[in-house]
Formats: sequence, C-alpha cells, structure tokens
Amino acid sequence: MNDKKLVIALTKGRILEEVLPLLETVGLSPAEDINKSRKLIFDTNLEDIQLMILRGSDVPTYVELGSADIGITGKDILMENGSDGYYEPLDLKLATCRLMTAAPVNQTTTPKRLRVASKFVNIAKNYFSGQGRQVDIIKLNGALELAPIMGLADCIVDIVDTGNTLKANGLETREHIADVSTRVIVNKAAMKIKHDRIQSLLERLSEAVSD
Amino acid sequence: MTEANRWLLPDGVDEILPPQASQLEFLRREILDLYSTWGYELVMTPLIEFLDSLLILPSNELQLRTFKIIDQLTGRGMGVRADITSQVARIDSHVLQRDPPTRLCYADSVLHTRPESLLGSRSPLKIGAELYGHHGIESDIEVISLMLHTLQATGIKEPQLALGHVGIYRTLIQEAGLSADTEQNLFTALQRKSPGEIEQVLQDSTANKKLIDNIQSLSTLHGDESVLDRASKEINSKAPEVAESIEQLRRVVSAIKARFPEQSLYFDLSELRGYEYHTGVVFAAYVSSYGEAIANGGRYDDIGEVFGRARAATGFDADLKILLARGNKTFTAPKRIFAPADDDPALIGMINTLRHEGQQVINAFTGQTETPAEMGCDHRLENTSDGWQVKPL
Repeated sequence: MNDKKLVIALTKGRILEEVLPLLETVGLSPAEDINKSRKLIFDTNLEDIQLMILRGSDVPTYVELGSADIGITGKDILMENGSDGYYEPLDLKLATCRLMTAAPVNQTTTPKRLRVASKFVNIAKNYFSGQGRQVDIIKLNGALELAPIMGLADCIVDIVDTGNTLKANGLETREHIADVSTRVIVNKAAMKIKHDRIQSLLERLSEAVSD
Repeated sequence: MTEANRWLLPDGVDEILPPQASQLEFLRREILDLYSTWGYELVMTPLIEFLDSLLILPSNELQLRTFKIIDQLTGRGMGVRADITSQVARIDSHVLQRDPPTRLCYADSVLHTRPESLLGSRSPLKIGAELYGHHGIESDIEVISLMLHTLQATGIKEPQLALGHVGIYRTLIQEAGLSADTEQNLFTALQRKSPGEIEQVLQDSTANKKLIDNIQSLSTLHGDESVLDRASKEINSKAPEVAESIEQLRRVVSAIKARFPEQSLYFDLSELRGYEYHTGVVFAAYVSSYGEAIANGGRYDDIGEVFGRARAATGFDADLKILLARGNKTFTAPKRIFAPADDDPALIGMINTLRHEGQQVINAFTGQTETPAEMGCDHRLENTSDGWQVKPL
C-alpha cells in the first residue's frame, strides 16, 4: 500500500469498458489511453490516484494484501474467492449477468450423483450443498459448454449473459444461482487510514450509479 | 521426499536468522521490560494442553486454527496453543485466584493450522498483555495506552488507532430476536460493509422497521470522531446499553487524547472482530504499509467462568515478528572483536573485561587462516607496546 497515492485495481475486459465511463463521470480518467498501452499501471488526471489493470481473479488478492486500496471486479469473482478479508461497500450495477446451471436440452435429471463442470468450483460446491445435493465437481478453465456434450459432466455452472453460446452448443439454462454485477471492494486497513478520500470517492460513485 | 527438497519448511513456518533473530530478542526484552514497568507480570504458558481448557474462547476460528493431537497417556484430546489469551485467562481465574486487579503479560510462539490471512504466518510470536478483575473503562484505557507504547517501542510511526464497541450491535440484535441463521448472515454482510447484502438479509427476515433502520445506520457509522455524535442521533434504541457503549467510547477518546495528543483515531461501530467472545470496547492499530491490523485487542469479560470464577478481562496482543518487520527501529550492534589464539594472561584478562562490557569477542583457533573480516569482525585485539588494545580493522 502506497502511503500517499490511492491505488485502484480494475478488471480488464468488459468490466473495464463499462467502468471507465463511470469513473469519468466522477472526474477520474486515466492520463493515457488504457487500450492503446501495454502498461499495467496508469497515472490519472488526479495526482493522488493510480489505476492498475488486472485479471478479475487477481483483484481480490491485490486488495486483501493491501497492494491496491480499492478494487473493482465482478461479484462472481468475489463469491468464488470467498474471503472476508476486504469490505464490499458498493454495487456499481454494471456488467450484469447471471450465475446459472446449464445442461443439454431435454436431458432429464436422475437422482444419481451429478458431475458438475465449472470455473467456479467454490460457488458450485456451495450452491449444491445448500440445495442438499452431493455432487462431484470438475474444475475447467474455459469452453465449459463442451463438458456436457463430450460426456465429461452432467451439467455446468457458468455466468450467462445472452445465453447464445449455450444455445449454439445445445445447452439450456436450468437453475438460477445468483445475479452478478460489478462491485467495489476496499482494503480493511486502507479504509481506516485513507478513510476521507475513499469515503468521498465511494459517495461520488454511489451518486453516479443511482443517477 | 527427494534429496533436493529435504530442506523445505512447511508453508507459513519460518526461521529467523542473524541479525533479525538478535533484533527480535532485543525487542522482546525491551517490550517485556516496558510491561514490567507498568506492573505486568510475565507468565509462560504450556505449549500444549488439553482441549477442554485450551479452547475456552467461544471462537470457531480458533477451534479450526488449533493443531490437535491425542494424548498417549490419557486418551484425551490435546491442542498446541494457537492463542495465549485463553491460557492466561485460565491462569488468572483458576491458578492465581487473586481478588485484586491482576496484570499479566507474555511473549511466546503459537502455532496455527492455517494462516489468519493471505501470506499470514502459521507460527507467529505473540506478545501481549492482559488485565483481569476490573470492569471499568479505565482498564480498557490502560491496555490501549500500553498497546500504543508497545508500537512506539518498536519504532512504528503514526499508527492509526481504530476503536469500536461490540455492545451496540449485540444490544440491537438482542432487541430484534432474529433467528440464528439470519443473525449469521447479517453478521457476514455487516463485516463486508455491503449495504446491498445487509438490506437483502433484513428484508428476508422478520425484523421490524426500527431494527432495519438501526442496523443500516450502524453499517455506515465509521470514520472520525463525529461518528459518536451521529451514533447518538441515528441509533434509535431504548436500551440503556447503547448509550452506555457510546459514552464509554467517548471516555476512551478523551483519555487517549490526554495521553497521546498526536494520536489519530478512527471509529467503526460495526467492526465486530472477535464478536463471539468480546464484550465491550475493541481496538486495533493499523499502519499504512500493512493491509491488516498490526496489533489488536478488546474486553472479554467472564471467560474464566468455565473454571468457576468469572472475571472482568481486557487485553491485546501482536505478532512480534510483524512489529519488527514494520517498525523502523535502529539497532546498534556491539563491536565484534577478533582475538588471536594466545594464552597470554593479559589477553585473557582483556577479553573477559570486554565481554563483561557487552562486546563480542571471537577467539581464533591455532592455525586458523581466515582473516578477522572473514570472521565477521570489525575490530581486532593487537599486542602493542602499551599492551593489548582494540583496534578497528
């Protein structure tokens, strides 16, 4: 954690695209075009704020360890991470999608022990155990839709936006696990030491979101 | 195990090498001396004891963090201490059995099955002080002051002191009569300071409007001293405990300001660390280079009740290794003096004198070819016309 600067860790990809305009409305913009640079840390128009661009799943780690004061990432990442090592004071209501189970169209569920493929092993485990169902979980890192087609798993747990990828691969959504949106997280020590600056940024963001 | 990784230590278990080890020991003595000047008596608790006495703090976290083994002599479960507070509470309430306020301190290693945080150690060196037998706020003020003096002694600059009080939340929750599940979910949401989740939990519960408003206010009550004024206005409860808790915090503030005029303060009335066993004022110190509390503590009355003697209790602890790493203390190393292999009585007398003064004297062995510098020395003993003298290299 830097003593003077406030470091904000952003998630690259869709979240970044939607968050940058929001930051703009509260008067914060990167000093150079993030998309045209290969840098990973950027100065901003405000002298005391820096932006860091990371993979979503690394954002909670940077924030919990205090290398970043604030992080912006998806609720899916936070649910999977499962840590209570940071605060989660604001829902930006951006990049929304749903966490769902999906299975091949017309596949009937039998009361056997299900095999579930997912990137989100903790979410899947918690969801099914919450339902009182014992399942076997297979960790995959991408192209989840293949797993049921190839007989690797009975169903998958994944984030669903339009559902087009599922449809194209003969799958359909089944159970709704959670709504996902972009959240702001804050390091616990930073909240205490840099309270004024963090609180005022959170308030401005909160106003911008509810407008 | 292959030959190649035989040296590997378990995750989160470290060894302390020169010169850090001697610095750590120096700091340990200095802090224990400080506690001694405040009248805190040193205790050394057993490394291992029966789980029945070890796990008296009603903390699930502590249960999980304790290494457990079966005693081959009795068949009973034993645990390696993961925390010293509960052991000291046992010593106060059952072993010492004194009536007046009792001040105890300790500095010892503990072992954790899993680290408290990312990159956390599994073998912290806990140093702390506990004060038993006094219910009033003055004992809280004393241990907070001692914690701040501890940080000063380690050269930690401008720590932020965070204050809270578990009594406010506990009173509000008791008024509400929520189910255990709802209470747990609410607690989790409150610890994440997530307004959306708090609202969700409360809406799903049978809580009345007043409680919902109170809890939502509570979740926003963090910041500078104005938090206490806001709390008096915004929390709408007839229970006297709420006003009492706020008043206690006010008294802590004025006392700390009188003792440490430069100290910056932060308040968080929904910070409920150790809620399972804390009963009053809770406090923690933060520094800007470290993502979590560097020292913390609070009131935990009546823990000794399981030993038949409930006592008021408050105290704090810290990991001395973290204090050393985060503090800016400068250590002055003693001279390291090379002495040649020589049985001259004058030399032997000189060496004894130097050692008595606290200097380090390294004896060479006959035929040894390494130079004094190679032996890590910065001075050497030379036989001059004026007798043996210490000369810089």
